[in-house]
Amino acid sequence: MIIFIAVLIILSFLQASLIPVDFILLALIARSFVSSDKSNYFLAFAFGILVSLLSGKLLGSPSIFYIFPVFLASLLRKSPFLTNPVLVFLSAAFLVILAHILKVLQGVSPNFILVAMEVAFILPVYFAVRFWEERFVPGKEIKLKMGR
Amino acid sequence: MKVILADLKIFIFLFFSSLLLLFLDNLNFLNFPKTAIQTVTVPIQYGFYQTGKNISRQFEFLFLARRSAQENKALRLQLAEVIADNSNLRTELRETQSLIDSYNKLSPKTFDLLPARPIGLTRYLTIDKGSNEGAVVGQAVVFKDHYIGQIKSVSPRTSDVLLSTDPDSKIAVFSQGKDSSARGILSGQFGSEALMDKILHQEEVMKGDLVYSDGTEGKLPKGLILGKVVEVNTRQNEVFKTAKVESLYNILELDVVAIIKSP
Repeated sequence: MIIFIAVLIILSFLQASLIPVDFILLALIARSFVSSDKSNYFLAFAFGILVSLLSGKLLGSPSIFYIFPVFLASLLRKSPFLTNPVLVFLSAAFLVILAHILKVLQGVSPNFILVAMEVAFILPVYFAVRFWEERFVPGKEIKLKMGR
Repeated sequence: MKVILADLKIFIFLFFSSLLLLFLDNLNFLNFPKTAIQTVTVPIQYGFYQTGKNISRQFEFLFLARRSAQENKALRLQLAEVIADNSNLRTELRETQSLIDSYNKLSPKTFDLLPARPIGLTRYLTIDKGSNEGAVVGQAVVFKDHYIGQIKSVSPRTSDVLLSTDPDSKIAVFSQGKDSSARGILSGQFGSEALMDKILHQEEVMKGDLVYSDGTEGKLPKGLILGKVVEVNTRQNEVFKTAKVESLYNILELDVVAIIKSP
């Protein structure tokens, strides 16, 4: 978790100063698909605030863009179809577009090239997060029920 | 369902928290903490920006090198085309200039000139005009007002020119200097020289005199320059004097000559 947070901090600085692609949104959506951890919401909220601080936006506005897709992703995760990467990609693309629609509703002009770039990054980010969560994050202890 | 409700609670809580932050920030209530945090984040952000700029500069060098190589290749091609064009233009200019000179020296009212390009030089000079263009055996070939030779044979598209330096060439000439003049026969020698023979002893011929055609051969007009006297041989025991005559132009350097169709 700490490493994930550190990576997110670096990504926040990167997207605020160098690369306009919203990697935080992508990483949060990907993590919501991979893990049903409640921390996803808090991460979305906290990094929304950090991104707004770094990019000079109003505090709280990026948090809304992040929390909403994370919530929907958590709901979608419960569906049995979401093991297929194509469906993951489509769902994540939908969420990315939704986040951009929310931005537009708040008065931010739409940038279709940016949306396309973010959509293109969905699967690499998803597989990176999934690989990390599956290989390097210890899961909960599995308790076997011993029958008599 | 229980899990979804728990998620929804967190979502609603954080959503309204975000809205509250948005509202407070809109009213500038959060300026102080924002400024405090940005005091820390701005230098880090600047560091990221500079690092990114330096990295992109390194990669930019690679792109620039590639683009420069492509540009260099394109420019080389362009330069080669320009050089070729320039060379063609120079050739055309030289040809035009020499034609103008020929017309200036030999009045078009008197002479009907047909421009021709030398296309080969063995014993005879081959030019690119033949019987199709009206070239006839015996016509004089000139460069400006300088006699080059006489057409020896014609084909439909080319003609062979007997040069004045060819041993078969014999032309009635006269030499003219500041204080000298003489008549004689110019016979070709192999090489770039010809020999002016049959000069009477009482006639003066001096080194540097120009040698002109006498115009007694029919198709060869009078007054064409054949060369310059470079050496005079006087032997008292012989009836005639001789003089070595050198052409003023190197045949190989000529781009265009003219056939005199009607003297």
